[in-house]
Amino acid sequence: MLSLKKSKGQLITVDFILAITILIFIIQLSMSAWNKIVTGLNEKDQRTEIESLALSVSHLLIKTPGIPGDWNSSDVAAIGLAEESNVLTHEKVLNFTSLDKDNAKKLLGIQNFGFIFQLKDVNGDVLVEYGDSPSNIKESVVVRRLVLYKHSDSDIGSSPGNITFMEFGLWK
Amino acid sequence: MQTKGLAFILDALLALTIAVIILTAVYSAGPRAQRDYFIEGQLTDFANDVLVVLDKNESLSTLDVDEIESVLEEILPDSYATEIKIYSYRYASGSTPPFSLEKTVTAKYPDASMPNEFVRAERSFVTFDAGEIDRYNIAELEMWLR
Repeated sequence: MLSLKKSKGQLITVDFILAITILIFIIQLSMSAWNKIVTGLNEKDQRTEIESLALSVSHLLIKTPGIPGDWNSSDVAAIGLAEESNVLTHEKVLNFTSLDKDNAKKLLGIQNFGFIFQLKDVNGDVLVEYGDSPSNIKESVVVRRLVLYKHSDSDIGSSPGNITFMEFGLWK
Repeated sequence: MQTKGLAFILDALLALTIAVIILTAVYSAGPRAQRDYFIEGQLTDFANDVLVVLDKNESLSTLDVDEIESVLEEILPDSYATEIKIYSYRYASGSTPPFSLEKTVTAKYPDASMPNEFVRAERSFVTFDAGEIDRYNIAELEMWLR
């Protein structure tokens, strides 16, 4: 009678231990998967943020004239390098590259990032370069846009300017 | 008794299978969908840039396939391919309809077949003759990743 009772108790315990083991295994598996998902989504969020910012800033630089339209380093409220859509002038590019980098970042809304701005001719030779020196990069993105660049006196006026690549790199 | 136990095991297996399927689906599907957004966005921006630049440097208005293709060869990144079609309508006042399709030009670089997925940009521009508008043109550009 006594041994029968013990057997019943043991059966329940083995059943219980098995169930708990499976439950713990499932919970651990779920937590591990959940952590991976959350980490992946956080990394993706950071990636998306940096990609969206790079696209927005590149758009701002080549599509808008800035505020005021003839801005310079002392009165600039918003940075834009375009005389008209996709046409950059040497004067505005020069004003941009002479800005204090922290001020430029603030105006572009990229205070927490490193950036590099480059103008390259169709052969890939760098015409203009401005920005930070890359260091401790966790995430980075480069956006390449096509513009016409009026970079010399002869280009000002009726000339459309030279075909040039504008590259904007952003990193964290 | 044994049948009842089996029912519990089947229940547990079903629950486990559903949980694994859901976790796998969420884990594999989530981050992938957003990555394409940037690539597509960049391709779309570049496609629009190409049309704007070719219009403003007056390559498009030549309606010369060789000239347009030589510019495309210079500016297109290695991983991109594109095709531009220009529909050129001549304007004649007094005629009905006033615009008639006179010429269709197709420039392509490189000579690669277009896949199912591509981005499209469109731009219209006019050409002048002796200070008067003589043609109304519509350029359609399709760009894709090679």
